[in-house]
Amino acid sequence: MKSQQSEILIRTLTVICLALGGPGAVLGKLNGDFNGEGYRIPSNPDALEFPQAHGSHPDFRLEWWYLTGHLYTETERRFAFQATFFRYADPPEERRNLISNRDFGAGLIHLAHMAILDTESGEHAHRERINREGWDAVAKEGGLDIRNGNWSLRMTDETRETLELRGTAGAGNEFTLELEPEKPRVFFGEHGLSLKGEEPTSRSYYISFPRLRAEGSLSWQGERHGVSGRAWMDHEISSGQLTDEQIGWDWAGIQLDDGREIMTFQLRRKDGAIDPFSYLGWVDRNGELRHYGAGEFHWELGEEWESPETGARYPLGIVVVAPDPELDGAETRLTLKPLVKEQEFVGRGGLAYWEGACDVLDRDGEKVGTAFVEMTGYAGSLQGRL
Amino acid sequence: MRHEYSENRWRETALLLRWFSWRNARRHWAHSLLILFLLALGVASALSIRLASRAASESFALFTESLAGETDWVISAPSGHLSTDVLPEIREALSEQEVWIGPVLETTAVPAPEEDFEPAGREKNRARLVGLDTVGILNFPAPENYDFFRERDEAGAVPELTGSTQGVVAGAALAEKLDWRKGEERTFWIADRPVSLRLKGRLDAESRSSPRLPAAGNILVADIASVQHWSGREGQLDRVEFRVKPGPNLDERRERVREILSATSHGRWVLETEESRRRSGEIMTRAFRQNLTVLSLIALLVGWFLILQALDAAVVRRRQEIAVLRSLGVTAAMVRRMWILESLVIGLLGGGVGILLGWIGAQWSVRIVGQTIDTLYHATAVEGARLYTGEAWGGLALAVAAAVAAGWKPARDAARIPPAQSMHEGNRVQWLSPRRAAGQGALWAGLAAVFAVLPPLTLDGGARLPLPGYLAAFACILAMARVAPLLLPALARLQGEAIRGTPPLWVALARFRRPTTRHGLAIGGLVLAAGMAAAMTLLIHSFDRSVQSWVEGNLQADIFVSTRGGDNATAAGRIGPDTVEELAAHPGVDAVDRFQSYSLRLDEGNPTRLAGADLELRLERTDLIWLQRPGPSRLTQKEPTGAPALVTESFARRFGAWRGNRLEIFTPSGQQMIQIEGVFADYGNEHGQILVDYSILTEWYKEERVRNLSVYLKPETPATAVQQEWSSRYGGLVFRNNAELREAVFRIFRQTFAITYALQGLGVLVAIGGIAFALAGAALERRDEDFGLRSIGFARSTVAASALVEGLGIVLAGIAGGISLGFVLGALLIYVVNRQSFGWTLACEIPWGPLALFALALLVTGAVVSGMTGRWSVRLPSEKRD
Repeated sequence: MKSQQSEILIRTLTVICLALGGPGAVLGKLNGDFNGEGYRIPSNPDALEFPQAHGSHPDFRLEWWYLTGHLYTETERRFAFQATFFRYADPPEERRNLISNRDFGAGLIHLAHMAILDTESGEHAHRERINREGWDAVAKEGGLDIRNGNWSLRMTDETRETLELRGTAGAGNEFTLELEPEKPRVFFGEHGLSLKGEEPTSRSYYISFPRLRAEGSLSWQGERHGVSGRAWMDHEISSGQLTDEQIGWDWAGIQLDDGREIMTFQLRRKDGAIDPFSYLGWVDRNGELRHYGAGEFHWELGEEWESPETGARYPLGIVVVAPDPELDGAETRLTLKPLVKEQEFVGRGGLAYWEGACDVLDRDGEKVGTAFVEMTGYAGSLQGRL
Repeated sequence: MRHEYSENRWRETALLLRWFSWRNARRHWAHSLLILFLLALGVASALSIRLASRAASESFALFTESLAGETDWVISAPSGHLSTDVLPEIREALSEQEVWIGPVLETTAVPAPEEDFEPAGREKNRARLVGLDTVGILNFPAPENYDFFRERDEAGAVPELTGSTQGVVAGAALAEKLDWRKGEERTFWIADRPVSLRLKGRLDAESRSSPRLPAAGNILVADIASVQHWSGREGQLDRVEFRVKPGPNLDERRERVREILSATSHGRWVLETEESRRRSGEIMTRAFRQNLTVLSLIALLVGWFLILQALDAAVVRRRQEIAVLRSLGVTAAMVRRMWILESLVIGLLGGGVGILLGWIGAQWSVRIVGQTIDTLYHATAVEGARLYTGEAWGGLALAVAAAVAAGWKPARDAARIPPAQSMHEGNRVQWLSPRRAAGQGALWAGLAAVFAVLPPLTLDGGARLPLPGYLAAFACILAMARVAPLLLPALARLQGEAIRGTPPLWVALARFRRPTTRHGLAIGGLVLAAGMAAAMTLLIHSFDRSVQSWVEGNLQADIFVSTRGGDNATAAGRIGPDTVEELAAHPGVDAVDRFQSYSLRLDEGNPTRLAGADLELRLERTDLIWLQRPGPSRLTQKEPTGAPALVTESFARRFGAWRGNRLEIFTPSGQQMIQIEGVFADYGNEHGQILVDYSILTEWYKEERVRNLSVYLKPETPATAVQQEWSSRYGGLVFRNNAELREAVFRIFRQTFAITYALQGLGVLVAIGGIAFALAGAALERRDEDFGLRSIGFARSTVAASALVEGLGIVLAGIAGGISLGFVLGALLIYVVNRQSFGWTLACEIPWGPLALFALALLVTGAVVSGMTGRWSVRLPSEKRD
């Protein structure tokens, strides 16, 4: 039996995650920059002013700030983390009819996921939190300042665009990190718009800091460590939704040791085909972006791992095969090898996905970077959950 | 060998029991049933009151229990409400702690009457409307266990409560009572506004993982933003619940959260555990419950006295049978064992019946106790009292102990009967020793005097248990029970021609010259039963009169205004400032006295109340009963020494604070100082009240809503016209004219005395039952003598008449002793027990009329029973010994 919580969660997660790579359904006829439900839709990335645009945009249906990273202690003990802040808005018309106040807002829901992986023990601790806009959760407009309970993400220096992230994953597991961009932010997608489908509503602003230097502290089971490492942050804004044809997606954020990054996703359709709106973007050492469409790259799925908790079978150890701009478009093969297989995130509503830290291996099996991979729709079709 | 011997011993005793006791019980079945009934009645009264008061307390526990399951800590304002501004501050202070934080706001919602209009103040379906953060609560463990998230609305979807303008889920019981189906709308009065609520789902106690949650009660759950909006309490909270997330070092982390919450409080909130909240609820009603328990035990004591008397009489009746047994070789020890065993069986049977009657009685008394607690202390939702196994065993143990204790002396007496002497002498009469009786009476009276002046015991939370007062009452009972039989020799001294010429009188009075122990027991039992009933009558009458003069002095206004369902102690309905202004602006209104009150914790969290009223107006227009009258200083302006305040007698006694004392209190605007200017009598609540001027209270609480209004009309304005005009305009408010309010106040007070009335009735019933026992015992005792009188020529009618006179003498002595005891017990209840437990002094008023009626009823019953037993005894053939 679904609970209200799971419904909110599924609605939020599905919409959010599909905004990442899914073709949007027709939500209604366009009315200027607004769709039929009254949400604003992404249309002009040049209109976004930074650093204000790092903040929240409640005119859009959903928005998320997604951070992942690999961390090392002074003794080279290795950890990884995931911190995701989601914001979901009810249709503006509905919101107007709700009773809402400063402390207990209605119509704006904040969901957050936190996870810490300890590679030494192989333990993966994860937590979920859901709150309404109000005293215990807020995503401010006009600048990055997000809080959900005692988890928070805020910009500490608007010029350098440095960030502070605080999160926990159960008692005794917590981290506080200073994150500093090593490259300027990028907009994935042609013309600054990440297209997810044929319809004009199926697009998002996809803003990333693909390489952040991370430094701070991490407590694992009550033991505190000084840590440093590398992180990735996405901020995506959209008003789209899944189509009937889509059942899930796979995503990867790859940070190569040579100073370049790849962001890629492929959308999976019911018939087993890969959706034509799948995408791969290379970020070079200077932050310049090169886009590749669905026909120009592909994913080879790895050996399936069955989750003991949900029974979902995830094809881990995927290989991304793509043209390398530095090799004049010659094909490169990057294997994303999970540090630990058990990195499934199971939300309280029963919605599960695999979000895991990986090493990146080249053709010869040499480690050439680190990555985070997300695989959704394996624990039942997402569409069916809506 | 020893084992074999003891086995034989018990087998023989059991055989004797069957042959001797069972046969007797069957032959005297009415008598046996009466003993069982008396014992059962005593146990039932004690048990039913115990069950009822426990159920009412448990119902409070349910109310303190979080809807989100167990919590580690709860904070609430020491007085009034918490501001939502504390939430971010608390989150920041706890930023390094893994803890769930759940804000809660509660109010009262009263269904608007539809066809059958419920009279104001009798809204049975008044609901507790709980506002929760319906999103944040999902972070608490296992939210899917909460029904309101499992429920489906009319469209089959999960009920959307967050920010809903109408959506609520209701306790199944409330939905049933209102015949309210999912999807349907109902209008409720919340504060003074009508709100149309739509039922989105039902809380079903059975389907819930935690069956203790108050799903079955009159409860509505909605989103906190909606409840704030409906009740006009934006920015306010009643409490915040905390639960530390599981994980390593849980206790340490729990303690850390406590430390942080304590350190950041600065007097703004009280930090408690769920358990201590429950306890403070229990403390509120402790004095009330303890008094009930003691009263119910007195009923058991009366029953016990009568059983003692009955068993003792049975020894006399069966004396010759015992003698036969002894002659046949049955040892004295065996006779004693048999007698004790018989008492044990009586105890078991009486206890069993008592438990059943007690449980039945509890279903009735629980409503009364619940109503009283609801009216005077806090909201309750209890509708039935459950019987736990432990309590059933306790009731049984009580019955067995009472029966065995009552059977002990008769068993000893029976065992001491020497066979030959008994056969020869027949009934051996034990004479009462007047000197010893007087001595013992004086001893008990002395002890009573000492207990009466001892101070009460002080319990947690400032509640006071007047144990010495009760012991004094107990000693008084024993003193009077010992002394009252001495009235018989006094009666016997009545001389005169008329008596000498009337054989029945002469015979009866001759018997009084040397009263027997049987006379003593009979009169003792009567004294106790009649004394208890008389004392209750005196107490109730005095209370009634005190309340009456208090009401007459206090209630002078023409119209009283309150919100619907606002008659209970914790009803949260308030009248908004706009409405107050509109009412005050009515052309017929001369003046308006606004009244608002908040709960307040003083001295380590002891509960009391802080109220505000338009003091100058109140003093000018009402006649308060002063214990310490205030001086001529202005009561409406704050002085450098503190805000001037009046306190009730209960407050003064409870906190030892009288005129001239200063006190520090915590309000939402911080710490404040008050200066007590006067002390007045008030019977509103035993926790006391501080009264300051309304302007001062609003300054402290930043709230202009009021609990009720007293409206004084201009002389030429007809109250009923204004009342009607307002009633039709403001549906959420109740307008009572002076007479109606007085009626409502008396109804509430009488309702709170319902259990006392029941005990009074029980006392009367037992007293009348006791007469039958006493007189039958006396008749049996003198049966040989009666036979002798008949043998020397006395007519049967003369002998029967002498029995009637003797019975009347016993009853008269019992009544005289009982009524005297009633006066003494009444005085103890009024001047010691009530003052110590509740802190108020009642004006002692003797209800001559009811007491005379009661005495007459006893006398008539005594006459009837004496006549019947007299006639019955003379019809006995001489050889029939029982």
